[in-house]
Amino acid sequence: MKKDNLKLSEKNKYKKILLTGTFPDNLNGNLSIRNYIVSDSQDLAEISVSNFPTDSLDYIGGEKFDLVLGIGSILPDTDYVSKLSKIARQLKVPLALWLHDDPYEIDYNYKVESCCDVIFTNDKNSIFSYNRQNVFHLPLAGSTSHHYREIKETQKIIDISFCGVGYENRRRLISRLEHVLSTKNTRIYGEQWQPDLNFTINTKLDTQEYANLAAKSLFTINIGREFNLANERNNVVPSTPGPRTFEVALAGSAQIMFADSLEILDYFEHKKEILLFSSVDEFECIVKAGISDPAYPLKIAHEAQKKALAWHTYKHRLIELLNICNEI
Amino acid sequence: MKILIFDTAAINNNLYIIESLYYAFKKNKIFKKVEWASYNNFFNKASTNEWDILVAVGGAGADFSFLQRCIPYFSFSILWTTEDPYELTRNVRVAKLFNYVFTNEERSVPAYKKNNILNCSYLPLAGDERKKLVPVEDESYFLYDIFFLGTVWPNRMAYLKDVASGLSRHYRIKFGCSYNEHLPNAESIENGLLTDWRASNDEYIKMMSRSKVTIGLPREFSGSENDIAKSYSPPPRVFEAGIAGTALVYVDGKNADLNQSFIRDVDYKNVKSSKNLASAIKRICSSMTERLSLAQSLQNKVLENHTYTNRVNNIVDVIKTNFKDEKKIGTKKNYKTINVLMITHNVIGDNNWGGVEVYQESLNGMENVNLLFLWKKGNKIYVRNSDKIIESYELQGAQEVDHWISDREIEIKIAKILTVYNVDIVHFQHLLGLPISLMPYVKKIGYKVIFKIHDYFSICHRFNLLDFNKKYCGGGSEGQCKICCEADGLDQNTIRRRRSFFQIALNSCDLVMFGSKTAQDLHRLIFNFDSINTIILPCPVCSVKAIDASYETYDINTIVSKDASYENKKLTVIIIGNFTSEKGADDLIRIFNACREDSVMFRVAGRISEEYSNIILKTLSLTNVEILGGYQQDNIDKILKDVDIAVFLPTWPETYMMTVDEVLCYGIPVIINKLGAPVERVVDGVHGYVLEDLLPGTLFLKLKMILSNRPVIFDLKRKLKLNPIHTSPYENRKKVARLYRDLNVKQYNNEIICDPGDDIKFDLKELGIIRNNIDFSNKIIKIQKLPNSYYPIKLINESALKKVSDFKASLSHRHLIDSYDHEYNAFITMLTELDPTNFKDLIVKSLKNLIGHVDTINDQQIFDNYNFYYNQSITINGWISTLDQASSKDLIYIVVSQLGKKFFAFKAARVERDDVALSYSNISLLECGFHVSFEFPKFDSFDLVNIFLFCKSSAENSLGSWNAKYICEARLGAKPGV
Repeated sequence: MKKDNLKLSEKNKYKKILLTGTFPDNLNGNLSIRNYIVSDSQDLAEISVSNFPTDSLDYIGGEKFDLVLGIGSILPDTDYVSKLSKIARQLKVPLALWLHDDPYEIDYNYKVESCCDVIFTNDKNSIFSYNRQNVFHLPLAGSTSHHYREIKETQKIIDISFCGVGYENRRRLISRLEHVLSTKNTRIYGEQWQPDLNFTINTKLDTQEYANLAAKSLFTINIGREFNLANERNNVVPSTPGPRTFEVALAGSAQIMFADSLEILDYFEHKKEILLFSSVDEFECIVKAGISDPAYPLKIAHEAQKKALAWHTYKHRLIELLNICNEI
Repeated sequence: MKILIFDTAAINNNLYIIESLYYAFKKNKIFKKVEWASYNNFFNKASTNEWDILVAVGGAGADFSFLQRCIPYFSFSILWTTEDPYELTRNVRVAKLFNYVFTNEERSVPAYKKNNILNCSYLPLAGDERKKLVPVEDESYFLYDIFFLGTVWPNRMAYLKDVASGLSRHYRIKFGCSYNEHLPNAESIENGLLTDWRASNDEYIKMMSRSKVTIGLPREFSGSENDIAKSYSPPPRVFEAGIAGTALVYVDGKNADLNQSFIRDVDYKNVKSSKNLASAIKRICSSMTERLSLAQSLQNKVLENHTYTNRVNNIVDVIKTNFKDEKKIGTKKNYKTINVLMITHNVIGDNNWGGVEVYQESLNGMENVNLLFLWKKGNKIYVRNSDKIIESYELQGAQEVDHWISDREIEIKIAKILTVYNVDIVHFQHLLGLPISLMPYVKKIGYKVIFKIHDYFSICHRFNLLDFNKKYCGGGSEGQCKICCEADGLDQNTIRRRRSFFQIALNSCDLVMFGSKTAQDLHRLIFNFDSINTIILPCPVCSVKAIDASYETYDINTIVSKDASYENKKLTVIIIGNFTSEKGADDLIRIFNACREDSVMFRVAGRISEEYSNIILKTLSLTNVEILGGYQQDNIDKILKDVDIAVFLPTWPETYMMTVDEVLCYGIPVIINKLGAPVERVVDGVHGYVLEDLLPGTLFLKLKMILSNRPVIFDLKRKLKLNPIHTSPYENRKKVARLYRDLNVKQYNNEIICDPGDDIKFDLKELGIIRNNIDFSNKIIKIQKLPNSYYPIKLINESALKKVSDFKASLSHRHLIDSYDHEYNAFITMLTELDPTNFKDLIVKSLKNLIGHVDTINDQQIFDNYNFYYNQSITINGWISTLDQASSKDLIYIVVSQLGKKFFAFKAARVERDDVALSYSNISLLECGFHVSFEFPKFDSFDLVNIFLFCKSSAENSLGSWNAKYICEARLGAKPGV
């Protein structure tokens, strides 16, 4: 993350942005990312972002834009890649795509071999697989307006929490940690968790509930996803931490992260802003110490929140995206 | 010099090697251009014909036939194997195609030489200096004391266990162990360790850097029976440890080759046993000075001799010594014949045919072009030359579906045909009835692709762009498309899927030919043609007689005298071509009717669709209409005899309309409406009249005007003779032949001899284009009609879930079970083996009048595959029955498959469905509902649900055989949350 990406380039050419999806909105489970971008970029006076529902793309009319930005996945056969490219050509502006399901769907990247001017991928290790020019890394982020919660020690009524789909790798890891988790006040929310664990609740939480959960938790476990829908060709291993990392930091919980990649250290400092573990013993030590003396995890939470607010909101991502677009 | 790197493995988990090599080549000034390719885009890149050097990396996973087609594009070809000696046999076979071979293992070199591959030398893999991390002494830098990441081959497991148990718990151990079902579970190494993770190469290097000691363990395993299971040359992990700046302890006393490159105890620690391993680790962990010394020394050695930059220098040396600028391939400009395969939906023959068939036939006879036609009729693919059918291929499983995207069997078959007939160019005329995938597919396996656009099939399945009201829709708005799809009973996103895929198909064309600007403009509204070559080439007049007629010099006086006699004759108006609604039949009939009292005779020449011939024309008893019906091209002069004017009222924007030109050749003026390609070339008042709008009344008035002033016809005839607009087939053939030649097709080296088994075996998916559905419509529920054939089947055990893990036959999810006989039978055999006692001698046969529906899966109505979430618990509700022999004793089974590889079967419970019974007014349908709920043994996915109905047959087989048929099929995908 470069320092100059905290500030929008003075020569920014892209002031009016047409923001939309890469496939039909009615099928899109991650529509909120576009809302995060719009709300987090409110205080960027220099630019305006218009969030277009995909169904309205035929009715842009005579409105002028400087950049078409499509966010989403290109897995569905109903993808809008060619359509967005057509719209951008008609508007005579560049098309940027921010694809946020790498590497899990990376085998579909043949769809963007040409057809767009610049690609942003959420995963650093996926860049080379695109085999084309102008592919950049842009991790997802947290939203100040949606995820930020003030940290209050008195609110920390849960020891450890996790929220996310119970992918097999996560289930295996949680099983290994079970004897630690079951003796603490633990809450694991999300779909597809083993019903036999006494701390799992098979419920999907919405953004607000999820941020509240993290705000109430002294520790939040951070486990990556290992669930590929289309990643057979190169079996790309993700290296960038998922969006929850930034969201939880904003919500103000100390994260204990299973270290399967050290790219996390590009965003948060070990033992200052995040805690890494590699064994059950290590996990247990961290948790025990933190519960008996919450000052340390609370300090971690504060530091991580400070870092996320300063570097890892969607406003910062939009600035970085535009700065890159301006350079190419 | 320009170099293309080719990743020969269709599936490659070590893409980082290609990446490192790519950047090392980029760094070398000798290369002006460096790119890399996979199967997906190899020919897109290679066909620019600009490359000098091919470096194929990998070897064993390569498709031999594909490689054969690649190599001739380069002056010099190099293979660098990465899996010797484990894949030596396959590598040696592939290596024969290349000018020079590098093997990653020194002891494999003799095997190549023995096989007469003399240009071969050893080149180990390397480290990527871009990733270099400086060795550190500071204790606080380290996250881990001991590090290992890799596959736990059985020999490695023992070492890891010993280390983990032999060290006290205060050592920070970081083990990452990839394993699969054939390998031991590494969780058993030590209770507290979490070893179940993988990392990218960059992260792997970072982790080594932040570990005091990294363990190196040799691999003693080969997946190939004939090959050696142990490598003696240094594995890439050693070089990568050097790049990471870690201290390496290598476990293998006999690894002599490692000692050729590195000095034991200086660059790395070598140990022979696990006991020595633990003590070596302890010693290094306790002395940061020793750790730094080892790490620094190894890194220096690697940076000096073992980076990809070093390897590229070696490759450059070989290139400099051996390179000759002689491509094995020449342009076919200099060769005699170009072989062109026309892929089309139909040829002139038994079926109804129209302009496309006439057009493609007119291309016969090009100089130095050998033309073949390929089309599919029923389950056969036919190949024909200019005279006769020369071959037909029976398809085993491919079942034509509407809105077809891809079919493996047809793709592989076409690849074979292209090889057999040594085809250079594939010229697509129409893909109706064939999978659209053929266009990108043939491009990806190395053929030039031309697509002649005859209608709007790329834009819409309603390829005339006539909407559900039979009105021209304009072709643009997808809102309107959704309405049409609903009217057609299709998923609303059908058009979006179609256009998304057609963009890919169009991108794969070397040339897209339009007959008119109209067609081109409409396509440009929808698709991005920025990087696609297009040309507008008017269609020729295909009738030879018409051409002859156009060159006749005629005596104006004769025409005048003829015109004089018009006073006593009715105005003869011809409507030529197929008489269908698309050609304006509805409006024309109204005009016929309105002109009953006028001195005008309409002559209808061409096939008349049934709705008009049987009902309308007969019912109306139109005496002013002369119906000639279908005609032979040879008779056109007779048909046009004494005709005054021709009328064309298409209701859609025709992309050319050859008949207009044909009629004009005979000196007959035309009246056209203001729609489609003819408007571009027919000049109002010169070749006839261009009506101002599409209203039939406008034509009616125009005819009235002509009737009141018959000499205008003569005037027009005179003008149009002076302003010919047609192209002759001869001129057209010359232009098309020229286009073929300009495609710069390649002559392959005939010296390379294919083994009979060397046809390309990749389908579209294996070439990198994956789709979620086989068709655009994404019809989740399909109700199939039964073939009249009998299938042997046995019911599986009713009681419990059965997993059939050993089922090897791949029942592709892209095929329907009932049409894919051989795989179906394998599936049935599997079921039989599963439960040989239950339901003996079950016969499965057709059930008549099947009805049914899958209503919900996990309470969701499935309207698009994307929104379905995988879940361990699945609940399916629906109904199924036969209309005539429904019984509540019928058994309903749900068979769920996972990517066509694993099958699970469940018996469904009966549920009352009064809504169905009411709707069919049939009380026997009351219990036709079914409900099934099941759990997968572990979290997993499924993509196909088949519902089987088994009916006890009373009449046909008293022994109690069962009739069964699945009727419903749900194709599912998944889109899990974050």
